[in-house]
Amino acid sequence: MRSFKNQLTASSKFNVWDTPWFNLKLILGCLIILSITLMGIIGQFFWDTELAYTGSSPLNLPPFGFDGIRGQLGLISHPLGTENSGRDMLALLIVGAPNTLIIGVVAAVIGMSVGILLGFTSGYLGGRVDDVIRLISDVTITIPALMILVVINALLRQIDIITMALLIALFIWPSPTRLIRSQVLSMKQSGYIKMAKLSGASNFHIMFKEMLPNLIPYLFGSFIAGTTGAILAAVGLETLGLGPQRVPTLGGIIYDAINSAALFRNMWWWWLSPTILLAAMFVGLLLINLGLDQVSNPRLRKSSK
Amino acid sequence: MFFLTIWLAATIIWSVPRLTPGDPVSAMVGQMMETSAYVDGADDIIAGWRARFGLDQPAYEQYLRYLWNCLTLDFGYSYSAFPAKVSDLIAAKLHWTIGLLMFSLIISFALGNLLGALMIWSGTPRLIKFLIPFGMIFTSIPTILAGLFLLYVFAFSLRMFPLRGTYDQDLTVGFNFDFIFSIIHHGTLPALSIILVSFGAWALGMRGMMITVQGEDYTHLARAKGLRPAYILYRYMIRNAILPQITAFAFQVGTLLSGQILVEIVFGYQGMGMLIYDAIMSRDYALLQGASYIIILMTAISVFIVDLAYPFIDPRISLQSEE
Amino acid sequence: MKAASFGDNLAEPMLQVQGLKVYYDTPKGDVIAVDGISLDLFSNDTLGIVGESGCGKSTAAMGILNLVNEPGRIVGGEVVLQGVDLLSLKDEELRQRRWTEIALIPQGAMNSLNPTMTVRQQIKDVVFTHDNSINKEHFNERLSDLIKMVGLPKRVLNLYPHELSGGMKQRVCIAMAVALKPKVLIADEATSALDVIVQRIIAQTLKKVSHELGLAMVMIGHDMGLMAQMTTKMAVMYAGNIVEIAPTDQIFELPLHPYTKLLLSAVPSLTERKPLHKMDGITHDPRNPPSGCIFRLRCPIATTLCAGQKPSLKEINSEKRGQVACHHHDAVVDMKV
Repeated sequence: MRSFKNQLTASSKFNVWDTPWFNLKLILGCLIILSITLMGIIGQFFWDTELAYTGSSPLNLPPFGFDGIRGQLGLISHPLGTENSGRDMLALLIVGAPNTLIIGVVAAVIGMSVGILLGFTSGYLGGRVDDVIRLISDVTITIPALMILVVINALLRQIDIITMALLIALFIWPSPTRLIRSQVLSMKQSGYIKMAKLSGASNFHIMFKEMLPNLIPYLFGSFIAGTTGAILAAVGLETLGLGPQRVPTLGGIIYDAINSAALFRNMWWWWLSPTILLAAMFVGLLLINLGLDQVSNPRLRKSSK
Repeated sequence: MFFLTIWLAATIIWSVPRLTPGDPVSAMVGQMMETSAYVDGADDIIAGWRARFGLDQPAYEQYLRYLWNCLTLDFGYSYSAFPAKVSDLIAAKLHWTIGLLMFSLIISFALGNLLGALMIWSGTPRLIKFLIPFGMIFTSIPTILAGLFLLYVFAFSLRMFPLRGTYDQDLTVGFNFDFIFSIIHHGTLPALSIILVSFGAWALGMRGMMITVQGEDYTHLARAKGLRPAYILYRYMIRNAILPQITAFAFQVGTLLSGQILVEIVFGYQGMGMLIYDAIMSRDYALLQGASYIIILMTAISVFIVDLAYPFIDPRISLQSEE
Repeated sequence: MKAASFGDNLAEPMLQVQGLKVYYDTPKGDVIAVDGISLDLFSNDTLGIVGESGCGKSTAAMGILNLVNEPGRIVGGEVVLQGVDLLSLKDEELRQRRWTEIALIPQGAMNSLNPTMTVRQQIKDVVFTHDNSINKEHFNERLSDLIKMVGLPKRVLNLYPHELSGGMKQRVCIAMAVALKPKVLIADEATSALDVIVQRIIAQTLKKVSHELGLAMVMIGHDMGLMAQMTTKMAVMYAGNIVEIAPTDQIFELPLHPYTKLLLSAVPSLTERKPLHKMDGITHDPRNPPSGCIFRLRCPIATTLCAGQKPSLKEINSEKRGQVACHHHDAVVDMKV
């Protein structure tokens, strides 16, 4: 005979902490990203960023507590080691991480803005405008972004952070556009929008006062996804040596490492620390994304037990 | 739609070099000058080459000629490996990339979706459900980094796999066992990098779809019908959940291919990746354009095939869908 | 709690439900969806379960099938089908009995058919799963008999669900449900989502099918008029409890529970002109049921006795048949609605 859970569970009082925004993934993810950002902003006050310049430190030192390639011992003054042009790893990371983040965030912001604009236009106005925008966005999604970016960057000799962000944004905008467009299409049919129209609200008012607030969770999610994609593209380009040359970026550090055969000279600290930092960044962004998913889709909150 | 994609991409590839100051030949001569400090009679060389490569004609003529070339897959001569033709260089390496791609794609898609489904199915043992998310650690990092990591750990430190190349250069090419084994041996880590990174995305997507499907009325009725659990999982749940995944697949091919190019570079795998890398390094724009175009062509073709196959999988869509 | 059994039928009941309890787990406490119901079902019986939305009818049906989904859970009771308690079976044993002995016609056939399978495939898979000795020809014969029985043309077999209308889909579900000749059939609001004409067709089909196969059927719904035509006896549910259960004609002629009477009075009459009656109050918070009688908060004839002691289902008068859970059932006759 099966046994049943046959006691009534005591009814708990309504708890303000039950809001879905307070879920573990979201918080963890935000913490990670925040700490990386903070490191970039505050780091320069705690660690001498002059050490990121070439020739500022002894060459090829391993991290503190390890043996180097020629039996050198790591120094506490360079806790993460140095690389072969005399730059201190920790300083490089402190300067490089924000650069990489900036590229991602700027590209995502530009992409999102364009996306919101086009998505609303396309969904709300419909007709030919919709057809054209939809066609262009579908085509843009299909083209492998990296290929075009590789071609473009290879031809432009010097590239700075903002230009790179702009170029990447060219490939970020289709996703938010499609997302917003489909949301707008389904909202257009709903009762409260029709009411707003009937009561004479202007199109502008409907779009931004009625529809936009309902889209906030989706927009957040789209923004995070966009940032992830942008950083991915940026790192890909940087690792090929096609990123900004004048400032350190995480991918750029890895490029230098590969080019100097750090892999084979067993200078693992050179490429490992930026890799770990990048991995942390991506994991943080992913967690935020999953957390936001849980907010916008109630079914995911208590599933697959 | 297919043609539009290719046309747009080709146009972008063609126009960007034209937008930069100077033209490819001057750029190349410039590079020669960088390496050897001074080139005698630079102007004559430039003029000669320009005529040779057809760069002295008006822009629209060049453009039309370019489009025609794209259609016939003739990209002219490589700047760096002259007199080799670009198409020959590509043809020599293309099949390696395609092979790796097919392999990684199929395994990653199948594995990812299966694991995603298992995460939701009530019949999966709890232990497996618990372990699966750990396998998805690699999902969040870019493919190149996964490649680097694997290269260092398994090829360099543990020496289980070779460091570079597509196959062992000493072996005779052909259908002999040694050769085939060598290919597999060299290809394992690149394939693994791609698979480890991409299967997570499929798993997550499938998991989401499975949650929706699990709540559907027809799944409920399937249980009421007393059908076998494994059968319900396959025919009622997966079969319905996978439909949006296939659409997503079409859009992912481009990203996957880009990632694979980078992986090939990391592992020195002699496919299109290395070709593009060498082209960048030697400023061989003809090769770069040709190779990029081929990659984009491959993407467009795969999307097209998926679009064509979709009505056969989902009976609700007919071939004349709501475009 | 003794289940309702009516003196006439001396044979063993096909289905015996005893004290079935189903609770829903919510963040703010457990909701009592089904609070210990009991009933007996004999072959050729058609039991109608009626009640307002949210009273627990569908949950009770799922409980009987042992098919309650999270966050619901079965908390107690027995469901004895042909001598076996379905709630105590192991998964595989339960699975084998499903559809072969007890089948379901779901609410909303719109979504209950697998969109990627044809009608033929969907009936085929359940038949072959439970009976793999059947040969192909035999099966095809059976299939065309089934389709004919529900009044659908043969071409339907090769169509996909999205190519069928609502009424056709519902009939497919009926055909599928009787494919293995079960002993008990549960029809969960089988006609609620359809228009009146189609409703009639479905109702007639169900009647015909149950007659031909000698089924015991449970019909869940809230259309009293339809219930009157289709059922042999009726159970009235309120907030997870059966408050009255009796042969259909008696329910309509002489309701013994205040709620039953109020329910009947809410049905518009074709013959009389009278104001539309609406019951006062709303259902209580399901997490916090009232003490004593479950209906007392809305009952026009409730007294302090009702608050103190919960009435149980009692057989009033073995001649009159039927059971009711009310302290003041004799006052119901004179109750003004």
